[in-house]
Amino acid sequence: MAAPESGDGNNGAARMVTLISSDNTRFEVEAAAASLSQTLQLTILDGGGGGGDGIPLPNVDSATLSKVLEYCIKHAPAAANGGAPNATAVDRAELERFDNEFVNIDQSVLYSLIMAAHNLEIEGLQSLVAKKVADMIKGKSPMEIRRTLGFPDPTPEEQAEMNAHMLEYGWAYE
Amino acid sequence: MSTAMGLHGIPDDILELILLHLDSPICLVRASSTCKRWRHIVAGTVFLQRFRSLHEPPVVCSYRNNRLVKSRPDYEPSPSKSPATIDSRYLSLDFLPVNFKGCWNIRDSRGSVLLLDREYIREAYSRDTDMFVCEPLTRRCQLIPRLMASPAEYRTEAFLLRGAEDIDMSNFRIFYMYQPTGIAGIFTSKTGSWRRLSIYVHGMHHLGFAAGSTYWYNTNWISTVYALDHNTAEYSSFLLMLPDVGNNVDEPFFNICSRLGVTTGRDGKARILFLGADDNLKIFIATNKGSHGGSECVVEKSIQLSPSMLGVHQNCSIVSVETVCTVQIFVSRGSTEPPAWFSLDIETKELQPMTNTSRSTGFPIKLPWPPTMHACTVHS
Repeated sequence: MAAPESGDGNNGAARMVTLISSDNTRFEVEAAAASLSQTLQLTILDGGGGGGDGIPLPNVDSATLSKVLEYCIKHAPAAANGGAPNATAVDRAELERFDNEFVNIDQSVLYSLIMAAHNLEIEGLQSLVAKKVADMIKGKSPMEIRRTLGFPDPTPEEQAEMNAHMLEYGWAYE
Repeated sequence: MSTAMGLHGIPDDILELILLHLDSPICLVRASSTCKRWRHIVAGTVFLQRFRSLHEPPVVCSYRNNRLVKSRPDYEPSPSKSPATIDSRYLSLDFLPVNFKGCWNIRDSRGSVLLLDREYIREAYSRDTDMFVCEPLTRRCQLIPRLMASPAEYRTEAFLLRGAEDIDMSNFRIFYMYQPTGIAGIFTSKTGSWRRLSIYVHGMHHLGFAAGSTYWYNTNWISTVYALDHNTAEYSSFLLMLPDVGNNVDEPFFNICSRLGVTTGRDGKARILFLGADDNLKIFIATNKGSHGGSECVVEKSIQLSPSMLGVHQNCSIVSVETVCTVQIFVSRGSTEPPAWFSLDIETKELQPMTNTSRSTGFPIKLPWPPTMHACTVHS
């Protein structure tokens, strides 16, 4: 995955930037894709990330970063024309299919992804993962939610609090 | 930092984002039971406001008066798309007692609460009315003290005031008026007391609700429209010069009233409507800068209706509805032909025939909002 040094994207070629994960893997992507991150966008606008420099991302490991970039590359064209009035229904359906597939992953990866999306301020990705987790919670009882999200078993005190709360909001639990 | 942690280890601000994606207060209440930290987040004022702005509390049930002694109002759960629906025992009002010689009568519904009364015969020619506010889902019911100890009431008008805030058991206001005296007051749950309104007018005729106010018409003294602003809970009044009534003092009051209505314009301002005997619908707008220097209703425009639009008919009356820019027209065609209903958009002048089913409405209630969350309830 190590990327060679890139030029600055003259001759009509798209400008490329280099991102460096916490475990020192270098990723070369189009600036437009990386700019989906509000945090990176500023650095890139300042001319950073080109040449041999690369932008270090000490909070994101290579597995997560590669997943994040997969999302950014897929969504960059639509983001570039602002949600795109000229995007066809086919394009939108394809993005939706991609999104559904994309978050169909292990919980620990979801966790890393939403943390990375939060740190890098990628709004669409944050929303996508948040919605996925919300869908995992919907329609479940508190105990089922705890089990789904891998909470430790409640202490007797916690259990008593849960029971009291459920009694108070009986209408929500039938 | 992204070691193999479970989702329960997520920071608060990301957890908030996740919880904001839950689409119903039911899911939110369940999530808040999960643990103390989640409960704390869900109970936050800012969080609740954000959630509320994203998700309108859904209608869970609609009630209907059946006017049966020893019976409770009928209820009909809303068809819900949400995976969580409310069990019928929380909707059935089974906590209302039915062992007396009277019947429950719903007067109004707003937010998660019902305004109802029960009238019972104390002795011949003497009736008593008790009024209650109840929240079916939390099975709470509150008896409202009387506005007057022994009113000479003929009938009463009662509704829940609407305002910017959501209405629940801890936050409601009631408007109550004795007819025909016009003596009226506002009950506020926060103070638990009545405030008598200073204006009272004999024989107010209810027109409807539009643009944040309830409207009445009265012509005892001079033809006037009264408006009660639901936010301020104060009256204002406007002169209303009706074109073909001014000359015809013999026209019965009820006939005039049946041809008056209100609606909210697309600009958010109220319109007062009068359908003349010549099928000319006059649309008035209330202003404080009338040509006589005071508050009056001035004609904004008029719409001429005709037999080609309504069919051959004897006379028409109008009914106020809360749909923006809309009024319903009831057309009577004499004893041999069935009557007809129309819906008229006063801006586009589009006239739609209506069926009976599309006119009926019950008393809908929504899920309680905000759910009065207790961040840390410790029961030892």
